[in-house]
Amino acid sequence: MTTLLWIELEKLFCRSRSYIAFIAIGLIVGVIEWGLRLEGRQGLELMIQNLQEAFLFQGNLLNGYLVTYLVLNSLWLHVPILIALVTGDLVSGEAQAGTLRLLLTRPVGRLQLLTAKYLIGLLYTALVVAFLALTSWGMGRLCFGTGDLIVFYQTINMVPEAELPWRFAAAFAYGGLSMGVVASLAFFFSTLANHSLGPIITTVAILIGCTIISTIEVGIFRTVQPFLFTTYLSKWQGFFALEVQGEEMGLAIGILVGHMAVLFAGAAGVFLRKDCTT
Amino acid sequence: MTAHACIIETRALQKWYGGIHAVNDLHLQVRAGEVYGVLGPNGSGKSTLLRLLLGLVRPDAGTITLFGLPLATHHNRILRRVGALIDKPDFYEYLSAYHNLALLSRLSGLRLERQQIMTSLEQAGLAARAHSKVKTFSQGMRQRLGLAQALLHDPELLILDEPTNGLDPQGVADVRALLLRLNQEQGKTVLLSSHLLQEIEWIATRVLVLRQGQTVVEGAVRDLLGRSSAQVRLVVDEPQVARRILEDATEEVQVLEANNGHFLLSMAWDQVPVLNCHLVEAGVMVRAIIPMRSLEAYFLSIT
Repeated sequence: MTTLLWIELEKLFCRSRSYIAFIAIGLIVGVIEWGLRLEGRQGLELMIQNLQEAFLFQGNLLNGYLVTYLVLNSLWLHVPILIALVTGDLVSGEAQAGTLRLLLTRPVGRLQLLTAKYLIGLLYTALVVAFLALTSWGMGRLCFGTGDLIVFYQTINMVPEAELPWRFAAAFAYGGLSMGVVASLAFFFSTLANHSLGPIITTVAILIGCTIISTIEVGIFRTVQPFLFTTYLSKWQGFFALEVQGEEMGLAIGILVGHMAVLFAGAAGVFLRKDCTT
Repeated sequence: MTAHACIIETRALQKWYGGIHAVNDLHLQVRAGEVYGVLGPNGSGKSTLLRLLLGLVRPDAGTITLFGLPLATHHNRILRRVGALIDKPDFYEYLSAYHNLALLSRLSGLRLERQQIMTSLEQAGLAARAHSKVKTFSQGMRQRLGLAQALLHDPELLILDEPTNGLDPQGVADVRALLLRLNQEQGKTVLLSSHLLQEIEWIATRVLVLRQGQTVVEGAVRDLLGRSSAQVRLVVDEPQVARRILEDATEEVQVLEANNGHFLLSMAWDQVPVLNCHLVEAGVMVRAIIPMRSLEAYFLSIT
């Protein structure tokens, strides 16, 4: 298994496609932070204009933490696409290239091979999220300094600077988990297809469709919302509540892990029976 | 494995692709140390059969046994002893030839030294391009790399699908010589499919002819050729005497063309040496007896 993991890792990082996510994130974060540097202060003033009548704000409000928080908000829609680009290709890309045939004629169990690919897909997802965290936090801190964080989650929360490292760490870890579901979804479709474009497009289409259902408060949608993974994608914001709701967050984490387990089981069911005809 | 033990055995093998019966009730036995050819027109089930034997596709019914072990339950153990080249040789295009072989050897559970991989590439005539990315390779180079990867772990059984596809005439001759050498000197068993009848005729000891997934005929190449009616070009110095001898053997020899000592005959393959004896005994100088693609004629007559 270790050999398989190393081989999959080697293959992953020998492909130029794998670097697209890192380059894109670097560029997007750079552009956002540059924009905020130019006009962020005016924007923030506008946002808290009404609040200033009742509250007195002191200190550096437009700081690296706020920038990281804003980057997180704006990127959770785009990061899944970048992740699906690689994880949706893990099996189908090999089928398309004919190299799956090459792998399956070696003394390697199908389940072992699939597990190795899946774990590498999750590792890649974790690396992308970690890169997002490092670039947004690092560049934010460098350009805007530090301070308390003002967030609008259920109410106005002022999170003291001292609490921010663990809250961001938890938010990014949760974000990594939710992206793991996206990776699992793309991976599942990857086992069904012999071309990589199909799984990537299907994953993005499902993500968009489910996000719409998760956010529109209509009776029929409300009944399915608790079962959709997209309902829990933005729950990372819960780590910035004054009191983090442990039970609620635990349930969300459990549901996301459940989704991943079901999707991997589905992928294994398909792959173990798959005829390699390409 | 004892000599002539059965290395591959299938029983009542069936495979459907949707409504297409790709392999239909196939019984196959390949013995240790033989070169076994699988022939058939396009869509006859050759590639599906080879994929079934490697576990790439699952049978709908029937059993597959390799080295006396059921493939369904001993997949990894069996594949350690098998080298395969199926369909066109595809590799990781973004990796070099060397890197591809290194990676595949690790997948086979081997820890090959750099020199061993380089030797493998040298044998395939690719040493000079060892560190070039595979995406820069021609079809012939890929085919040679495909053979190198199949032989990398020194397997006892080779399963090869059209192994000379895309090679130039010298490449075809090299591969043929390599397969014969591996079979005769190292005792490797070879199962190969090909649409090149001549290739099968020259190197296979036994042959299976498939049509619509079913066995049309199976047996030793020599026996099949003996059974077949071959076309033979005969060149002699005494055309009148030769003509008389040929006419005397009316039932066995048909004269298709005759022109100034050049005859085109249709006759049973195993009667060719007999005719030669008769001609020589009658004092006819036989300048040439040229068989005209015998297996092809037989193949066309049965498919």
